[in-house]
Amino acid sequence: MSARIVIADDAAFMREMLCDIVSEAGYEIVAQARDGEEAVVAFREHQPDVVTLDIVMPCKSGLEALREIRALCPTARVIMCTALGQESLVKEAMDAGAIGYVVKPFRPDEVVAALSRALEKGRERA
Amino acid sequence: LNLEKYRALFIEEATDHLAEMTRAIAALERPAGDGDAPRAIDTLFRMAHSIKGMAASLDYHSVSTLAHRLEDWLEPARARGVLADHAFGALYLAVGALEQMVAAVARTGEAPAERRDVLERLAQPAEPPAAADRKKEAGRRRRRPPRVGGRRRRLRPRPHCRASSACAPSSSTASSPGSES
Repeated sequence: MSARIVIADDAAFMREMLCDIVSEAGYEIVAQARDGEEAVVAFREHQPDVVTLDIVMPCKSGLEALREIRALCPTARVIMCTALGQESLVKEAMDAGAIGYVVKPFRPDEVVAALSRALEKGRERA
Repeated sequence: LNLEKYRALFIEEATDHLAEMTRAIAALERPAGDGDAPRAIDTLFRMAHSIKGMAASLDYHSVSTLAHRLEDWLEPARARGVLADHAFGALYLAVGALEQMVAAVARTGEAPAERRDVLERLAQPAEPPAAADRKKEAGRRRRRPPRVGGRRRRLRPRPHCRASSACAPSSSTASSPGSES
């Protein structure tokens, strides 16, 4: 069975791009979220193998959603999607339990590598 | 990746974002809109951030560079939840330039030319000087007339142009950098 992924980004463009990359790599996208709040709801509902969270989102930022998801499930695997220049936020996210990050603009090979690493590390954590 | 599909998505979403930015600026301009200022500035920041990411994905570097500069320029105002009055001119200019650039992408499908004029304008901070600095600066201006030819000159408005800006101290002492007329 392929890994189940939730994708959260406020930009439809970015969600679409991630969906294309992730499904092309053979993973199943179980839900898409447009903000941090929707991401937490989607996580609760679908219990995915990995969540990708954009850092800058309305309602609830990626960092806030990460903390809530990790509080709900301390072994949750979350990958942060970040832009250049957000290094301090990435560090904060890693300290808060994110399992990895990818930098925009997305490169398909980097996204797939980050997902594989997350799934691998998740197995080690479990 | 299907470039045509993403170009169409970029044009559609960036156009929506720019409309949202225009609404956020209108909210900031409303006299009673102070309570909404942090939200409006946050919206401007997020929209600029999003346009930056989309444009970079399609190698529209001129657009992503300008959106990135705007995002950085807004960051201090976002942290404080306040945008200085003098910053609106630069904000209009930047959002207007982004609109033109997105329209150019829609017309030609190519990356538009860089807007150096806007990038330079955004090199001036959006942030008002800290209150303490403003007080210090005002006191310094009161105590010390501007230097002219190596000697201090006491400014006396000429009677025939009392209301004219020609009698005002030179711009380097009368206004903060980046102030709008």
